[in-house]
Amino acid sequence: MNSKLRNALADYNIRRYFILLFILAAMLIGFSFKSPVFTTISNFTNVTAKFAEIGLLSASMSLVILTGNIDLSVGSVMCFSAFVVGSLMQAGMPIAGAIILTLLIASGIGAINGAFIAYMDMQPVIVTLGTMTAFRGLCYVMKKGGPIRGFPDESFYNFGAGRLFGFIPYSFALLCLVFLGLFVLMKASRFGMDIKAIGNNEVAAAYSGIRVRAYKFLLFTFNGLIAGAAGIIILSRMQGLEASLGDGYEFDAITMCLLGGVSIQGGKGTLLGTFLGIIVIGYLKSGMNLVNISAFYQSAILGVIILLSVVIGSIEKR
Amino acid sequence: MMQLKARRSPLKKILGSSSFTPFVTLLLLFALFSILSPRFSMMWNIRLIVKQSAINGILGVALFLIVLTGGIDVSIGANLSLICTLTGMMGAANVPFLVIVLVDVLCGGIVGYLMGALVTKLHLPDLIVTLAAKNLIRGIALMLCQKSYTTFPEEMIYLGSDLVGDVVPAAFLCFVIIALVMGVIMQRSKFGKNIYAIGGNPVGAVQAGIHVERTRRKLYAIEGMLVGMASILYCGMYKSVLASKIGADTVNSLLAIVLLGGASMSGGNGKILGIVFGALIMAVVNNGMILAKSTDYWITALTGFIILAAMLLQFVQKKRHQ
Repeated sequence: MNSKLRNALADYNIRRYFILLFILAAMLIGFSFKSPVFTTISNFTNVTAKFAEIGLLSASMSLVILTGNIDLSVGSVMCFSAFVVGSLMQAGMPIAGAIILTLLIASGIGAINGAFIAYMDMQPVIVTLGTMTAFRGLCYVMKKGGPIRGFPDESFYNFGAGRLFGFIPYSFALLCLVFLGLFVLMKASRFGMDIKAIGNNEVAAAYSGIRVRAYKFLLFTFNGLIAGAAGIIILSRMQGLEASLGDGYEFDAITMCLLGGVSIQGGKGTLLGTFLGIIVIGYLKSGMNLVNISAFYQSAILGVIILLSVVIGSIEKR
Repeated sequence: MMQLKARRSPLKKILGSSSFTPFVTLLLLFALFSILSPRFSMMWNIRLIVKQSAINGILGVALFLIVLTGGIDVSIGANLSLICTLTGMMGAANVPFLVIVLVDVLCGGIVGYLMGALVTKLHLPDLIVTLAAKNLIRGIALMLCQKSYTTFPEEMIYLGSDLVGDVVPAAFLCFVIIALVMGVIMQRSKFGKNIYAIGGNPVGAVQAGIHVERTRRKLYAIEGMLVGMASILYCGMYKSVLASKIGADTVNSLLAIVLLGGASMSGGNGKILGIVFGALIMAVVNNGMILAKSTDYWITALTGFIILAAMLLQFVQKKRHQ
């Protein structure tokens, strides 16, 4: 029994899971001393509804990071999509049409990133910083008259306010669905092996017949699509938005992936790890709000967490 | 590389220089905005433009040093807000000017060196280290800066806002002097040649006996010191420091400056002179768009599109080269 446990703990990923579960348990116990509501079902509903959008971003972000790339534009694209879907609905478009068009536009932005990075061999950091700035700016341009608020068809709010079985937010259910879908895809097809191979050694992957460029292009496009979906959900939940929405979300999403054990150099990490990372960070943020830690300390704490998780990752590798 | 180049006529040398495109871009934009708005080319406005180019120019040179070795630093804005806060606190405590300068440059250097140490000693990816450092430093700055500081030594305000001999803004003069010193170091010294070698071919640089890691650490420290100098100009120019208002978008504009200045993001390419032109271009664009009565909002979007366009241009140039 003991040796079995030791064998399991020798595995990088399983060790990560144990550490994260331990942190989560410690956090739940610690914060519930401070406030008994922390572990209740209704708080679960609130917390998951809040981190589901960032969680969606980190689901597809972990695939991008697995290939050794990075996408800093997701926060801006999310905000931009929310503006697009809101404006379309205010212009009288039916909900379904507005959503489909927005998802197409968001995927298009992702495809621009993908084309630059995959087919023109540009650095992902710079390209996505460029699109991040450009679309954040467009959000400000579109905002001009103030925040977007009030849509003709009230049923749009159902996405954000709806609860499955009375306590699971639709957005969190969607997050689980996306994770499940990606998980099956990675296990059942060569997709998972291929993107890890790209992350480990892009040149070798290309020589062994993996279509590296097509994969990269698709993953960035998918990242845009997911950012668009997250934007629609967040608009529906908040019922209105400002042009600075989603500022720093890309940082949170990356933090969740790295904390979950996804290696920033690519090739190593699992979706389950990212999922645990999302829950830990989500609960940590909610807990920090609960005990009134100011936003300044919060950003510093997240900075320390991201540093620690890469430092530990790099020490473990040796 | 230098030896392999055949002797070329001076004209071809100018045309082939990486600073030539930024220079022409600057002239064209200047002409364009002069036509769009008659006030643009007036002397007071030109003075305003060069003055406004100074801070981002110095920071652009700082980022360029990192980019030149193929790295990236997204924490410059946060570092600026931290050191400006320190300056504001010291100013409020009536610390003498020279001591402030010394502390600022030293603090910037230390912050930079620590990041460099994390990147080179632990072999962590620079993007993640600087991204995390950005959050951490920003958090510290916001904690320290609970109110806005408005008292600064006279010398600092002179450097930031006054004219030298009623002609040139002192801030711009500082920028030019810093750029000159850095340019001479980069072009003439062994240290500078090493930096270009590391950016052009890191493996080759190691084999040639260059201490790559140590050089990169030094570069991060120099970068931080430059940020310290920029903070002094910032405080002198705006005469008011509130950490939450400083440096949120800085890295985007700096990246645009570096790319416009003809540096390639994969490293080993570009000159300080180009960065100076890049900083002037961004200042011209900012100023021109405000004069042309376009809303402020477009500037952020435009910065992003400039970055993408510059990347595209580099791609086209590379293709043509092959």
